[in-house]
Amino acid sequence: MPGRILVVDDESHIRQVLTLKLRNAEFEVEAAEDGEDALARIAGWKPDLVITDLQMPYLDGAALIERLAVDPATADIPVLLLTARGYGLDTSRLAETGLRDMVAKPFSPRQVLDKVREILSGDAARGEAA
Amino acid sequence: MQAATIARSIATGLTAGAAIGAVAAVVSRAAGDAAATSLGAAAGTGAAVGTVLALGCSAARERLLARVRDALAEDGADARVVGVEGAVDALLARLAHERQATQAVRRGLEIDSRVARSELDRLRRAVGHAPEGLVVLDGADEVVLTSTAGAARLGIPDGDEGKGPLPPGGETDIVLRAVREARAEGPAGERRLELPEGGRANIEREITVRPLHDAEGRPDGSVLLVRDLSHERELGRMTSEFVAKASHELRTPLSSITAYAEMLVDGEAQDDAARRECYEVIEGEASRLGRLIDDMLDISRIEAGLTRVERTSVDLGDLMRRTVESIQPQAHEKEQHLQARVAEVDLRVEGDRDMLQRVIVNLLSNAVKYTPEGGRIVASVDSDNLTGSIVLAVEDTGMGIPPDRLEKVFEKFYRIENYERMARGTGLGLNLCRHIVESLHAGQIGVESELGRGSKFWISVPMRHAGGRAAA
Repeated sequence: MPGRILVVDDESHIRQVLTLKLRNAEFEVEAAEDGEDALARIAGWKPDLVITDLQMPYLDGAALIERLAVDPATADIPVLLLTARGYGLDTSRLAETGLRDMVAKPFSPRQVLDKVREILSGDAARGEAA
Repeated sequence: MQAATIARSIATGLTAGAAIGAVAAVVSRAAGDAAATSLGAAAGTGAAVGTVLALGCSAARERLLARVRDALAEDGADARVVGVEGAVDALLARLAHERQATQAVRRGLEIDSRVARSELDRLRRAVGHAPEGLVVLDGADEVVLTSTAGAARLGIPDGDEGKGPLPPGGETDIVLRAVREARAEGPAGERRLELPEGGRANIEREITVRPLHDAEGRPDGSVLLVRDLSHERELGRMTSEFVAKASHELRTPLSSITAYAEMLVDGEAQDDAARRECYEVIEGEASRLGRLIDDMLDISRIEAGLTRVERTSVDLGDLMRRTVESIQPQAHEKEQHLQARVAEVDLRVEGDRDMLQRVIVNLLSNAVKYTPEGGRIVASVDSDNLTGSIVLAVEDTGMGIPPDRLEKVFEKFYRIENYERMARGTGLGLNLCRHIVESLHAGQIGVESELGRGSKFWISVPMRHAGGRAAA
């Protein structure tokens, strides 16, 4: 089950806490500070799942998800989005992307881990069925 | 008949016929009915006496008396017996009095009418210039008077051109229905309606309608107050934007606190060092949350005009030296050279010491935060006699600010993207500084910067406070 996860957030504390939680659960974890940084890392280290914050400088979470979707090399990577209420995200623009689920901030690392397992096990089941 | 002729000639210039009647009565007692009748008949027309009165001429009086005596003599009466002189004098005096009274009344009426015209004119100008959207309708629901704002907000021409029926259309139908409904409610009636954006005026409006009644309580028109809601809507939009930004900023440290607390509860931090890190993050983020709340409250209190300013004489040079000392450890940590350059002149201003210190702390700690290790920071204070201000500046060798962001750095929660990597503030520090300097001290705050070379933040505070306070 465990696999590679990229955590993208401009807040270092959030990157650290998610990295620790996921590494304790045996995942391989890398972290990026924003969307641009994430794309650069993914080019050399393809993750099984991306957890990204929504509001970030340079390239925000929604734009990152769109960029991943248009590149055939990354279009299949599932994404878990950390959102914030009141940000007014139009999820319809992310309909045809890898966006799988959302977790609202302030979040519980436990809940994030559960969602990660859920997405990856679903994908694994589909993979076996295919 | 001579007496009748004279009497007619006497009366020609007169307006008050009653006076002639009175003299006629006096004359009639001695001179007999014929003369009295003649005088009485002439009473309605009158003129020659008017000439005498107007001239105030004793010769004319004498001539008049002579002719009256002659007339009486002709009729067989003795002028001495009937006391014609006294009667004529009494008549002249009375006529003079009445003429004066009439002139006074006419002058009074002229003054009243001038006053009334000027009052009406003033009323029209007052309504026309009123900084409110006023529209007055007559009993037939036609426009008779508008303020410039009222005409604009209803989309009709200003002044006389706007008079008459409201232009036909859906909006007018809605307004006139409210006018009729308010009128139907009687003197205390009122209707309030909102008109959407669009229409002739193309703004969102609220209209309050009240009927007007005359002294007898009959409806004779309506007054409309048309308010432009776009400013209110804009305020609402800004408030909502502020709340959205503020909640994001509050949620960020809260996210860290809840996540790290849960990690401790779940035993995910497996050794002392990891646990210690969790506690430190929680402590640091909790205090950041506290600062954020304090800054938000301070700004909103200043904006609402609720802040008490303890104005004393503050030596900005002294305050700068002390604050530089207190910030020195942070600069040392980054191996920065922090220096105070204080001019040897009077640097006192009238202001709130604690608040001005907060401004200096903010500017200095920003400089330390956003200047790379080994950088140089110069804090200077000098007086500007030309403007009667003390100018305080903090100049650094930091990364600088792009020209298009220079004004934005004073906005709430605005952060320059690559600055976020270096340090994390509340996003409110410079906004608070601007409020303290500009709203509470009638001063100015500004920044000059060159990308990659450094920035210079400055404030200028008037030496003497002008009294009163600018709107926050």
